[in-house]
Amino acid sequence: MSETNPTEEDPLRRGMHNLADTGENPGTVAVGAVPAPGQRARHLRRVAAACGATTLLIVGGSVIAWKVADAEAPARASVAAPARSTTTPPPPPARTLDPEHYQLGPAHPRTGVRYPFDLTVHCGIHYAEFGSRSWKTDRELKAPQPTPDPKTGVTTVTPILPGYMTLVTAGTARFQMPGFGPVTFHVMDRTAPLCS
Amino acid sequence: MEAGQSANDAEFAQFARIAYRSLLRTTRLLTGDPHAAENLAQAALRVYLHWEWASTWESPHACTHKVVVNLYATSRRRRWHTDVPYAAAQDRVKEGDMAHGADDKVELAYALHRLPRSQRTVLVLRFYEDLSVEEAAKLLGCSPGTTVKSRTNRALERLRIADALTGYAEGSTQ
Repeated sequence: MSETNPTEEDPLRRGMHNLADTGENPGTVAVGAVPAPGQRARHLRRVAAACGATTLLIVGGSVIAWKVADAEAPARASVAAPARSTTTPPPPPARTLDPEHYQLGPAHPRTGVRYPFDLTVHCGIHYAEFGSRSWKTDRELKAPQPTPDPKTGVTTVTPILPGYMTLVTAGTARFQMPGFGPVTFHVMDRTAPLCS
Repeated sequence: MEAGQSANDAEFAQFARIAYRSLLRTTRLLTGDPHAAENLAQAALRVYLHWEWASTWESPHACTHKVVVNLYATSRRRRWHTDVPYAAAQDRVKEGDMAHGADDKVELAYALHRLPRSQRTVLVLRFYEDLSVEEAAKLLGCSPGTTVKSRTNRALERLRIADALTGYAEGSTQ
């Protein structure tokens, strides 16, 4: 490969310097104008980074919160269960039937209050009179078999179950007795029929 | 933090004041158009974005010139690029310094403008920036022998054929 001709290089150098000097003076355009775009670019990059970080935080936080909530759900359920057991009223104590004073509850019972109640079951468990209204179970239930007295060994058959009746809602009542039930009754729009 | 930033800015502003005129001359030769040259020189000052690392550079001036050359090499893909028609360039040359002869400038400007970019770049680096073959090759990221020298020879051959250097050769003998 041939080297360049020195006789061409000098004219070219002169010509190029001459051409480069041609034209207007650049003025002060570079000094003040350049930092501003750079600062803008920097500012934009910072804003973009801040937006990205915020988005990451929100998304990450949401994901973490969702996962934590998901993980805590069973724990909350397990905690809630004992809490319910503490708020649930204790099981009613066993009652002794007093043939002289049958307990039929008040004429106007209050919702949520447990009243001593003697449920007549000689026709099975199907109807009840409570709070001046007649109540009926969804289906007829069999009364529990009487057990002998542990002290005397005597089995006493009575057509009445000593327990408690609670008005749950205006149309629902619940009968409870230790070792039996509960039995849910629904209010009737007519008087309960007599045993057939 | 803010004080350091403003000190950086002041340092860069000083550098830009000094380097801009030199950059503009180089970009004028590369582009052949004063407006494109200013665009290219301004774009090269994007080194400001990395100015905080300028202390690690061998030479900020050389670095900026390298940016100019790289931007020019890829400027066909850039939005601001505008190659002006020869007639417009000719008019601008005539408006300039008339002392050396407008015809000589026009001939050289026209001949340079018709060179491929790679050859024009090599000529500017070697005969205006006065870089050696090795320095030009390093700046362009190419081989000194097979690329820089061959491009230089081809470019000079074209200028010779176009008779673009006659006026300057005669001027040197006067």
